[in-house]
Parts: sequence; C-alpha cells; structure tokens
Amino acid sequence: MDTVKKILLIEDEEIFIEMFGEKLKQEGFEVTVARNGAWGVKETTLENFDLFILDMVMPAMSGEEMINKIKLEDKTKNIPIIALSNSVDSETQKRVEDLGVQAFFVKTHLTPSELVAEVRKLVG
Amino acid sequence: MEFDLVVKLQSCSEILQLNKQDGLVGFIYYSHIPTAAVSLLLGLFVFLKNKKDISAKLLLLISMFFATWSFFDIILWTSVDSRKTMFFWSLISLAENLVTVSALYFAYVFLEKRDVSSKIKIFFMTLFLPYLFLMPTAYNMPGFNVTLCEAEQGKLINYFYFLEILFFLILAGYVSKKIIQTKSEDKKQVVYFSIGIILFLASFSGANIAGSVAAILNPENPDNWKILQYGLFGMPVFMGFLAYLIVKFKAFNIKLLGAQALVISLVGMVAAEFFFTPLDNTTNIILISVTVLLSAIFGMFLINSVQKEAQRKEELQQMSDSLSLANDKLRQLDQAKNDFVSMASHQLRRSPTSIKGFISLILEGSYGEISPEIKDILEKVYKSNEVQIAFVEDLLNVSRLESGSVKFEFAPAKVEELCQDTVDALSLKAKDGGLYLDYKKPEKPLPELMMDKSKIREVISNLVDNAIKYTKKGGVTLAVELCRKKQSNCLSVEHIRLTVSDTGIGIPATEIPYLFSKFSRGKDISRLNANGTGLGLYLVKMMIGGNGGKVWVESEGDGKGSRFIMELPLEQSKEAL
Repeated sequence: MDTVKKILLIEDEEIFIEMFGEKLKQEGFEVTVARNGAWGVKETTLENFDLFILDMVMPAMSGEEMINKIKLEDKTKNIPIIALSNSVDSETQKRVEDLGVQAFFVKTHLTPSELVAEVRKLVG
Repeated sequence: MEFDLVVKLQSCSEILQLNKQDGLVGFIYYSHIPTAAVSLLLGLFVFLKNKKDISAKLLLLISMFFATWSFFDIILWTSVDSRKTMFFWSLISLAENLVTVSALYFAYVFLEKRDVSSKIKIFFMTLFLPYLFLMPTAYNMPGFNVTLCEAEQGKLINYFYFLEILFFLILAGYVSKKIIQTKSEDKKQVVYFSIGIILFLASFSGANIAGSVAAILNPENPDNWKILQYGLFGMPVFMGFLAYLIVKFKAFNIKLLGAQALVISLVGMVAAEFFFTPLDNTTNIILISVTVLLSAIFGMFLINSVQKEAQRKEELQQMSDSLSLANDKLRQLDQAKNDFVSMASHQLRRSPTSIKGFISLILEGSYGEISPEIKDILEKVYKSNEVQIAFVEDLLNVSRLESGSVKFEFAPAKVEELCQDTVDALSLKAKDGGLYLDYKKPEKPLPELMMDKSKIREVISNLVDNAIKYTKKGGVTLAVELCRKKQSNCLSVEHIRLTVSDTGIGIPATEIPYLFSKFSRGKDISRLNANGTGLGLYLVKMMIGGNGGKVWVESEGDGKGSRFIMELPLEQSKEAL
C-alpha cells in the first residue's frame, strides 16, 4: 500500500474544516489543519507535506501572500497548491493562477468529493 | 488787536496772515488733513479686516503716528502762541522718528512673517532714551525766534537726524539683502514691498530732512519748510500701496477693500478743497458740494457693487467647498457600500456552501445508507440550494457592476476561441437534454477585438446555457460573423455579431422590452422549467455595455424560438477603454 499522503489544510472556518477535512481523512489522507494564514505558512516548513489546500481569505495573512511565501521557499516551492475562494471574481482567479497554483475553486461550486477527486489527481 | 510776547505774538500773527493770503495755510490743510485721514482710514481698514495680523497692527500704528505728526505740524503752522509752538515743536521730531522706526519694524515683520526678538526691541527702545530724557531740555529747544515765529533748533536735532538716517539705512540695507536672498515666486512680493516702504519713508522723512537742512543752511528764508508739504502727498499713496500688499498677500478681500479705500480717499481729497479754495464765491461752494456729493454717491454704488460681487464669489467658493465635501462623503459611502458587498458576499456564501458540501456527503453515503425517500428530498434541497448559490452570485455581481467596483480589463482577444470554449463546455449538457448544439464558424478568421475576455466568455456561456435551459426540442445554434460597413444588415460601425438562436419556448412580443431588466424572466414563469434568478440577462447587458457593445433579443412569439444577438464593435471607443 502507498504511503499516506500528508495534506495541510489552511482554513479558518470550522464548518469547512469539518466538511473538507473529515472527507479527506475518510478517504485516507493525513490532514493537518492551520487556522490562520501566518500559522499556515509556518506550518508548511515544519513537516513534509504532499499538498496544500488554502483558503484565499484568511486572518493574519491573505491567500496571495501565503502562496508567494510558499513559492519563495525552496522546501515548499514544488508542492502543489489548491486554492479555495469564496468569490467568483475572475481577476483574483487569474492572479492566483499566475502565482502558480495547480487548481482554483470557488467554494460554492465545489463538493467535498470533487475536492478529493482533485487531490487524487494531484498527489495520486 | 493786542499782542504780548507769549500768547499772542504779533510777528506770528503777521506771518500767519501773510501765509493765508499766499494760500499757504490752505495748502497746509490740504497736504495734512486728507493725507492723514486717508492714511488713518487705510490703517484702520486693514486692521479691522484682520485684527490678529501683526503687520496690519503695525500699519495702523504707522498711520496713527503719521496722523499725530500731521496734527502737530498744523499747530506749528497756524499757532500764534509761542508756548504751543514750543511744546509741539519739541514733540514733533519724536513723532517723526516713531513713524520711521515703526516703518522699519513693519518691514521686518511683513517680510519675515514673524515678530522681532525682544533683544532687538530693547535695543531700538534704548536708542530713543537720550531723546526722551533730553526732549524737555534746552538741548532740544534753546529758544524761540520771534521774527520767524519758529523754535530754535538745539543740539538734539543732530541726534534726531542721526536716528532717522540710521533707521533709513538699516531699512534700505535690510530690504536689499532680502531681495537678493529671496528666490522664486516670493521675489516679486519682496521687491514691491521694498519699493513701497522706501518711497514711503523717503517722501516723509526725506522732505523733513530736506526742510531742516534748508533751514540750517539759510535760516532767514521763511520758505524752507514749504518743501516738506510736497512729500506728504506721497504718504497716502505709499500707505495705500503697503495696505494693498498686506491685503493681497494675506488674502483679504482685496477688491472690496481697494474700492472702499479708493472712494474714501477720493471723497476726502475732493472735500479737502473746502479748505484751500477761496469760498467767497457761491459757484465754487456749489461746485465743490456737488462734486463731493456725487463722488460720495457714485463711490457708494461702486462699493456696493464690489461688495455684492465679493459676496457672490464667496458664496460660490462656499458652494464649491460644500460640493467637494459632499463628493468626499459620497466616495466614503461608495467605499462603505463596496465594503458591505464584499463582507456580505463572504457571509451570504458560507451557509449555502456548507449545505451543499454536507448534503453531497450524505447523498454519497459518507454518513451511512439513506432511504430513497430521504435521498429524493435531499436532492430537492440540494437543487434549491444551487439556485440560492446562483442567485447570491448574480446579486453580488450586479451589485459590484452597479457600484463600478468591477474593472473591465481590455486586451486583444479572439471571439472564436471564446465561442469554441463555450461549445466545448456545454455540448454535453445539450446532449443530455436531447438537443443539438451547433457552432457556425465565420468563413474567414475574425480580427482580434479589444475586450475583457473573461466577461465576454461569461456572457456567451450565459446566453447559450439559457438557450439550452429554455429549449425542450430541437437545439441551439451559436453563429459568429463579421459585419462590414458595406453589408446591408450592418449598422453604423463595423462589428462582430454573435447570434444564439434556439428552437425553444420563444418570447411573447409584450415581454421583450422587459427581458433585460432586473428580476425579469418572463411574467408567466410557470411555463419555464429553468431555475433562473432573473438577473442573468441584466448582467449580460451590463457586461456587453461595459465592452462597448449591444445586445438584444428577437422572437417570433410563443413556441417559435428566440434569437439573442450581440454586437461588439471592431474599434473600441476611447471612453470604453
């Protein structure tokens, strides 16, 4: 059996942590949760993660800032990122995609299963 | 007439009589009274306009010293009492030097825009001390020349000249230095002021000194002091000039003040004719009276009209001030609205998002098996929640578009690509509904258009999606063509035309005018199977409008299908960009 994939979920809202986090665990992933942006960025270097899932609107640090920091760090720059947003604003989406994230989802258009499908696509 | 040696001197009376005959006394009045009055009024005006300004205070002080000096001088010229002559003669040089020193003070304050230090003040006061002590002594006035009806000058007069020349030199040196030092736009102001203050002092003390020098050189000549009179006429002129500068550079209401000063000096000067024109002639009296009256009346009109203009200007200024204030408020409100929208967008999406997520988990069996009945109900809830999500998104989009917080980003792009994207994305959906989705490509490749690609893509996809929704049988065709000017169906500008036609339910003619307005999706919605939010077409219209294009609908009526047509101009107008 494959080694368990480690995912860092950076998300501040409890309900989404439960919804996405529980589903990912059920599907056999190891999920670490960070509840704000600054904490999340710190967390990225502490362990060897296989994937980051981050919310674009966060306390302490915005999603864009986080992605910038992650992409600047040698240890984390090649780890795939899934960005979740609450807004369908296409400008934000374009900016974030330019920063090098692998997938961008508007939360209202995404079910937990669809997220899991995307995660599997990215980390196998 | 009886004379004595003190109170009524025969010689003085004779000289006065002689001077009256010469018209010299009238001339003295004319050179002293109106000039002093005008200077005083100017000083007072400027002071009243800005009581806190120190240079305005000093100008008033100068005018007061000058008026005092004028008053003393008139007494010297008209008194036949040797005591009065002696008393005022001893004081007049003090008054004269006070004018000079306050002019110096004034110049410093005006140009430096701050008060003189206490040390310098004490230094100048000390210069006056010998003067004050020696004034009542014989050093000042050793005696009285009965023949000329004049006081004899003592040694103190030399100190007086020394001070007067010293002050003048300090002033000249100071303003020259200031002119050299000052750069840029302030230079003009400094030069004007320096010329004004130098001429002011030159016309005042210059004439005085010249008179005194003449008296020393040729003590027997009774005309020595006449020269002094001419200098006095310069006083109100330069006073006025200085007043103008203060007012101009302190931003008072210059026009009004200028008009008031002009009228008052004019009336004063004309009225002064009473003093020196022989009044034995009735015609003269009437002439002068009428002139004074007329100049006073016209002067009042002038002041009045200038005042009105000034008021209007002030009102306009206030209006524009309050307008810009209101503008600021509006901007703040707009910002508050945008903040609210983005906050609301976050909050409004949270619940439907979690409902969607959890229901999808339940339906997928993540929480265990559920009965078909519950599954059926949950599917309905899920669908209704999707409508809610779509509605919230449309609502927020409308709000953002209307508040102008959506920026259109123009870049060259190909419409065919966007059409292809849409067809690729929606062909499966059409197939599921048993419909065809045709794409009629243009015969030749289209030129690139300046447009906001993502918004146009959204619009095309929205229109095709709508067409699929409202069609039960048949299908949807998306066509793109170029409209050249020469073509018959082409309107004024060259454009690219996109047509989305369907074989769906069609639109009654009565509903067409309302179709693109907010919350409109056909009055008889029971006919429609779609879960529209009523905002989609309104958004389409706004986005096309933002790209400088037009969109409209054509339909033969109920059940006969519809054509949604949009045109995007080849040349974007400059305003749209």
